[in-house]
Amino acid sequence: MEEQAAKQVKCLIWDLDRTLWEGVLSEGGSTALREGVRETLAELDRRGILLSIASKNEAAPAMKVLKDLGIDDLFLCPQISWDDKAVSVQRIMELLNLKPEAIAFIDDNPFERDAVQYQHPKVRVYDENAVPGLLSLPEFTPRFITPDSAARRHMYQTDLLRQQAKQTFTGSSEEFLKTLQIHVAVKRVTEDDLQRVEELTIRTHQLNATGYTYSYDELVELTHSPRHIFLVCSMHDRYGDNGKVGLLLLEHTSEEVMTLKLLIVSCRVMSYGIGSALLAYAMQLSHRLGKKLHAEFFQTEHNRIMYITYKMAGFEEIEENGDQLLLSYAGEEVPTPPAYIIWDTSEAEA
Amino acid sequence: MEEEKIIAFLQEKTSSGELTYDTELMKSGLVNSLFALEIVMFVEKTFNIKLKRKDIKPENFSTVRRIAELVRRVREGK
Repeated sequence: MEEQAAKQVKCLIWDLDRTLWEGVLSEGGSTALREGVRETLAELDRRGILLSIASKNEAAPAMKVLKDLGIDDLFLCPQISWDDKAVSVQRIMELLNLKPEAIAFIDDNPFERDAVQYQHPKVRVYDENAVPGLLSLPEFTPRFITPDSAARRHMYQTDLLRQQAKQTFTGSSEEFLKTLQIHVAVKRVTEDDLQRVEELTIRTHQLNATGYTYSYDELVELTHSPRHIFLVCSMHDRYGDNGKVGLLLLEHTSEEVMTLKLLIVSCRVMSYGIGSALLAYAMQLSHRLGKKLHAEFFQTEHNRIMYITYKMAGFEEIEENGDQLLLSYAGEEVPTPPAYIIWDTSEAEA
Repeated sequence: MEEEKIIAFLQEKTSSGELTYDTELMKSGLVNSLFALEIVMFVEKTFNIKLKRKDIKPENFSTVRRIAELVRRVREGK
């Protein structure tokens, strides 16, 4: 399952001339969509795969064509300029906070494909002939399509608005976060949540402390297990709803100890400190239950940020076995989640 | 100097007025857990160092002076 997970494409970046549409815009060529393109775009969008553009064109006329075709809304942060496409791809990855492994690029021009591939060896590259078969490729076929996947584009769009607002905001980051009115609700996982829960365990690599995945049946069992506390967190702010963005799985490992098996936060909300806040919440919970808190950590190429989160929260290594660590909270004090987050935990403890 | 860069970063991030090299960052509530993470990332990027696992702990980031000392220690390869 892990291997399959690594292969999923999260964003497909399109060239325009002779890839999305038939001709070359600046030469007065046809801007009718190539065969199958419209259906492919709509279906990828429904599957929660983001769409963007890296095209060498004048932005205004190209955007006008997209608008006339009625598909301009489908693309996030389109890069239409005379910049190198490798630079455009880089910019898209930064704006959407995605790793090269999660990106695919489609272009009819072999030079452009090679240039992008050379700069970003992990980006998957396709030529224009891939369009008809694209939807059948495993990397474009998520296991589940959840309400969160279908709304993903919208969520990223609001996130781009947040980023813009942040750039023009003159106060400190903390003051900015306060203006967002971030609400985080933590509640017990129920069976209705499980598709999204599974999606989070599979899709999340950076903010994922252990990378454990569970089969659907195992997940069902965990929601009923008396030995576990399984929590899902959703988040909204003044820009909109971010859906379910975080997971916590705690296990009562002994009379004295509870252990964090999963701490996962969607990368989309990385800059809001939800990971640290959820950890603080788990620390409060274990304190209230009079138990020591341990946390399993499985080091990967991508999740160092989670290690830092634990360590800076006062956790220390008590066992080490290769990439597998057991951490324990060594401090006396119980942290409080950051003040810019408005918490609702009423349903977690019910 | 390292201290000044770190102070500038903290002032941009938090709404802190008074900040000296020895202000206790975590205890004063000035730096919450999110910024604790961001400080680590900032230090690595700005001073072009990669911290080892053992270096990443709250004590090393408790004041501006200690952060700067950590940076110098890592640079000297100690």
